[in-house]
Amino acid sequence: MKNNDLFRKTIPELQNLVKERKVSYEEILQENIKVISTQEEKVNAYITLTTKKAIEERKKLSPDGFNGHNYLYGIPLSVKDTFTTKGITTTAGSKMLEDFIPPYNATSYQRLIDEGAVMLGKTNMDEFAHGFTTEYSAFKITHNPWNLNNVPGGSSGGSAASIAAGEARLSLASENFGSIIQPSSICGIVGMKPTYGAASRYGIIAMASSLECPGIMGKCVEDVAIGIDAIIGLDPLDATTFSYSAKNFFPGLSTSLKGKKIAVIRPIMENLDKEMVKTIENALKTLVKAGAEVNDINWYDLGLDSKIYDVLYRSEVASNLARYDGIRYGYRSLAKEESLNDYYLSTRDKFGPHVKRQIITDPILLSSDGDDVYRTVLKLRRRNQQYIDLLFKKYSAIISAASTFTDLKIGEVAKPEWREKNRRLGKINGAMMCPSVLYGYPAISFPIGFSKSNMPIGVNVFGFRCQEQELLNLAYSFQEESDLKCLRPELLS
Amino acid sequence: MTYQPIIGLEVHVELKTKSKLFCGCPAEHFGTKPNTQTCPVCLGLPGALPVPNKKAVDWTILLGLALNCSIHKVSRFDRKNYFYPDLPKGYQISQYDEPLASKGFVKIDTKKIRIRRVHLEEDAGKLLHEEVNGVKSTLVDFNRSGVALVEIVTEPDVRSSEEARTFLKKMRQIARYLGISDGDMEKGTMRLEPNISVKLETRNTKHEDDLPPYKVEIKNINSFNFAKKAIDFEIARQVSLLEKGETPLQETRGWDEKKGVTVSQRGKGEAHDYRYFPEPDIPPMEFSKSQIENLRSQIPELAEEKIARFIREYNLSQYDAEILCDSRERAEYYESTIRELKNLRIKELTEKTVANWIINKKVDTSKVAPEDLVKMIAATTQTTSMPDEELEKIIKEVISKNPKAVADYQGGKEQALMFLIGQVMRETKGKRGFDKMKTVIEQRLNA
Ligand SMILES: [Zn+2]
Repeated sequence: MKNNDLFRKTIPELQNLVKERKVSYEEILQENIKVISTQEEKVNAYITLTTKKAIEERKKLSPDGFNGHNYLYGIPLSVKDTFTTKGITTTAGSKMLEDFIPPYNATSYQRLIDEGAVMLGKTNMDEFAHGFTTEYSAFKITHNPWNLNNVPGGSSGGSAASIAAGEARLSLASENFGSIIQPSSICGIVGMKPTYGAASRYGIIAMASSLECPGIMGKCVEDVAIGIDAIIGLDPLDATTFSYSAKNFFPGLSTSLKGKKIAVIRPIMENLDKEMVKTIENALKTLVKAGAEVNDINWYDLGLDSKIYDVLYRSEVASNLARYDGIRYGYRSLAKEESLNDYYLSTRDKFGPHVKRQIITDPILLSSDGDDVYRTVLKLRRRNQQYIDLLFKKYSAIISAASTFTDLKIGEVAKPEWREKNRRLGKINGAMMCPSVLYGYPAISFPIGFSKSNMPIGVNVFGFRCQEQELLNLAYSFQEESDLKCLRPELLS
Repeated sequence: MTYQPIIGLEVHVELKTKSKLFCGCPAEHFGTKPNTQTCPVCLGLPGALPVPNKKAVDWTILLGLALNCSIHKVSRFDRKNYFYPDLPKGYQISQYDEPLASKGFVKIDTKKIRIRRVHLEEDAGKLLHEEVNGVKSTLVDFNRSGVALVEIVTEPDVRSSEEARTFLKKMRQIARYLGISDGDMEKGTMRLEPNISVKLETRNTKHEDDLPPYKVEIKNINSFNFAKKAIDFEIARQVSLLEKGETPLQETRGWDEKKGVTVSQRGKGEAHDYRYFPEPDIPPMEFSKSQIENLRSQIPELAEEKIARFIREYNLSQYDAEILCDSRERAEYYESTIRELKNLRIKELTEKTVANWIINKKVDTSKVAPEDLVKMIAATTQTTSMPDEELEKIIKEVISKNPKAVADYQGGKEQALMFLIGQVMRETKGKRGFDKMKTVIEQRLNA
């Protein structure tokens, strides 16, 4: 079988082909490595490539290794550089960690390789996951495989681009304010973050690790369901994890949405551009055809969640980054440190400008006079969560957009015009992205169409805690109905 | 007009759990090779997460209950943010406004010292100032980083250095009775930071609640004696300022043992803003009534109750009972000998005689079995019914069979003698008097 034909295969299909000896694990691996060798210099999806190691590991695989359950056996994987990987440089997109080689594996990564996945490399990201375009990596800018002048979204932009370009089959990424949902949508792939606590955060490096949640990106719903199945479960190394009783999402996939009630956040739709709204409306029609009932719902103040998020996030940032004090992270830019100021200059020099600003401004919220802000926000958080929990008594999923833009050029975000426009959209974006992060709901993004400029458009669906299956079924039902599956950017074919 | 010292105490007690508070590394760090007991969690490596040690939480609650505190249904950890080279994460995981226990008291003599709170936190690493390749350097040892530490804070109820010392000893005794800490100030498993101020008392201002407008915190106290000296020095220093009409500065001072003075370390202007906020990596802890009651049932009889019971049941003096109950091991040893006494039906011995023996003859309770001790004591009251030659023979044998005890005795360990006497007792089966036996053994050993 020609390598070209493999791109649009799902992981279960690949496993069957191997079983029938029509394809080998070597061919599956080489398909991705070939794209890396020809396209990676244009895409810049990876910070560190581990292809040599992958080739060696592949040699240990047996063509009969797949036992009907371990779907990730021999499947090429990319991992966001925020997950620690034993013996492999892990930078979190920061110069501060340029030569940090962790002596331990992140649990989610460990679970994927335990099932047999083979890692091709560590993907690019905004520094410490702070950013939404992957332009604020200390190392490189990742390009969107659908239009190389565009951003891939972020902060998991490297992971999304690696999947869209065909430089990996599955990617381990992390979600925090849309960092999986939004790049998945912009890159035309499927991305999911499970319920908070369902998958371990052990080994995730971020500015606010407690708001980060591991998730999976893939070309289709089946692949993502398989990845989520693998990473979910109690981890003795993360006190916030719980034991998840009902998993096996992949075998549980069903296209029927009969009797399912789905809510659309109307106030968000009213603020999006027309093309996006039209695409979402069409997608809703498809869901109705599959048996679902779709209702409009109202929302509380659209800007409120991002304000709550802001306080929680900012409280944690300076605290989480305090450990990079130059004592154990070996970077000193000045040869002589004669004053305290010299010392700070010398040891914190390698933080990017965004991160520096966060470190300086954030502690203000928590200083003794800021205490009330934090308590007030916790109260609001509880109240909003109760409001949404109540909605889930009636609805099995809530739909909103996955991105406020489809076609964002590299460099545009830094321009004043964009900032002006974003003042309005930023609020909407918060309302779209925050609920799943703040209240721990699972969320999924999947492609539902294309813009006039031929950029993918995705949708963002979140559900009640531990109702991953509902979300996956909804996405699967749409995927099967629409045939928007394993999309391939023409640019690279 | 009198000067009244107002003292509040902060006592840190290191728990002797097997592993550290948030990771699986061994907690025992005294005398270990630097940085051999560390992992990503206690080194604060990026991405590593803290998972609370259940035993440490339970033990803190146990201590809270022993200090008559109320245990909170919900408690949680907070981050205390500050920079110091021995603090690998740049923050310490501690507890702020929802500690495990609060509002208790401890009785010292007839006085109650109120306990404000009892909370659990992680210890920091240790700084070592050494010369490395001819360069003065500061090194960090992280073996202690993350070890479980309980902080006990009192209300400002202490009025003298003597009371402070008594309180400390009581704390150590309770911790040892509970088996949760060695409470050893020299090894640093118990640390004291007193807050001291002095109030001018006139007839008009005699309100207990009026506190002076400042307080001075003393650090670096690492023995019971230093605690008393440091507090006495500080009280005198403050009184002399007050007599000059000055108000002492609110500040942190360190005890300088060499000079015997306290030295200013940090003024109020430089006070820390710790920016506490709830530790997001650890969910809040919730405790049910039955969990707390279950822990309460695990509290052993503490010294106070034991002393009262010993006086009542065994007819001991307050003094003797206190000495016997100073440690749980000794108190339990005493009670085992009393049980033996009853088993052996030795009527001529009273509980008081046994107590006197343990106290006055400095019996090594780890070496002499309670049964042997009772026989030994009984022997002192008995008459000769064994020829001297036979006694000599037995002693000779015991000495040759126990070279270690002999060496110990000859090396100055008086207690080894008691052990050897015990061994001879086993053979003579009480047929020879204690004093005679002791004299002969001593003669042999010193020959
Ligand atoms: Zn450790």
